[in-house]
Amino acid sequence: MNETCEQVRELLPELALGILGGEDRARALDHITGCTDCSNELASLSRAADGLLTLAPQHEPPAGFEDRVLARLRRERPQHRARRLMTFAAAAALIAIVAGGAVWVSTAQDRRFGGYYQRILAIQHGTELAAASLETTDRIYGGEAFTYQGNPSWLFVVVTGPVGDGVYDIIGTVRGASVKLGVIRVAHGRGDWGGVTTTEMKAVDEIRVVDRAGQLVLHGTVHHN
Amino acid sequence: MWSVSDEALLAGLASGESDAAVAFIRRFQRRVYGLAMTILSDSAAAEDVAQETFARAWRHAGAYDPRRGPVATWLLTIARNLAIDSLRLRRADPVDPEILVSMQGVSADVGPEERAVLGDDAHRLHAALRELPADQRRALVLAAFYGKTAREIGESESIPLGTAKTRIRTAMIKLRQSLLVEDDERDM
Repeated sequence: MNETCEQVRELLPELALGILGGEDRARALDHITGCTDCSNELASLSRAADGLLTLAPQHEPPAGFEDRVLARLRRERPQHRARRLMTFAAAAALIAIVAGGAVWVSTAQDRRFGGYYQRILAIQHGTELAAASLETTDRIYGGEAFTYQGNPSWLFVVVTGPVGDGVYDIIGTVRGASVKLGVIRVAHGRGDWGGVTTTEMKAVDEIRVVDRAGQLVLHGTVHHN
Repeated sequence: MWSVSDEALLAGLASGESDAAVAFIRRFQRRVYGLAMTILSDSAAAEDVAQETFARAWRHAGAYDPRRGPVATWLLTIARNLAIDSLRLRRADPVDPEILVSMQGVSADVGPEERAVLGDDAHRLHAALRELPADQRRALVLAAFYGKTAREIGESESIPLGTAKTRIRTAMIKLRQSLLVEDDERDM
């Protein structure tokens, strides 16, 4: 165990409990990625932290709870699907607007998409459109990010997942360095943000959504061509 | 239906099978609602959290990874995070953490498979929690159930930040050790 391991071990109990924020959290996560011993240590502490939740007393919910949950699942089903479609439609609309008025043809067949895509890239001297699926650290789906390298370059982020209401920073990892790209406001579990950026988007490897305490909320790897 | 594994029920829930959804809710509703009530002490708020927990489990069932832990802890972690958000939104203070110490531990009405995965850990953790000094136990419960950071615990307990961190760390190491010791004994 080297000096860094010793320093990080001090932080692991709080990390396992989900209460570590800011630079400490980022430093610990960064170290764990490349250290099997500390990763195993975190896993065993997390087993204890998660296990504590099972100690809470069980309690019979109010009458009709089961029916209300089932009714809610039935209500949400069509909306859930529509929301996913809307996410892509919104991104597509933004692509069309930013790319200088190119028209999105909703009836276009797949084989036309390649040409359309190429045309957008060519119009704005763009080289790459890429996407990332955003997830929580528990690997729960939480939204999407779209990056575009062109003139101008831009980023569009949609949050639909398990994120509390509030204001979050959108951070990109560019050649190992963190760059703040934008700010997203989440209300009723949803939020979106899009904007032009001077950051080299084709060099963004990862998109992170962090709260104002610096705690990671969502993250995703950007899949470039 | 009750002999079906948690993972299979979750998969059924995700695929929209109504029988699986009913069985999944029945299997976990007392735990989910119980945890929400423990954190929130408000039946209406706890029901909102419990409903949302099942809705999110349904929406995100495909993202569940069994390598990261049992379905029950995955579900309870969702419930905990939602309850903490609700607590912060309502600016409500946590109830006395000592209430959790008087808990009886895991209930007897869990299936043999769940007991095998969860029950042993729960009994060991409950015993280890009871043996902790009161100040360490309090710090741990405030962190684990109410999402309080070391700084917040330091402020609420009127102790330096370093002391709060030490209490949390010492308590966690003792709890983790209780699991490891039992594992070693079982392996012998």
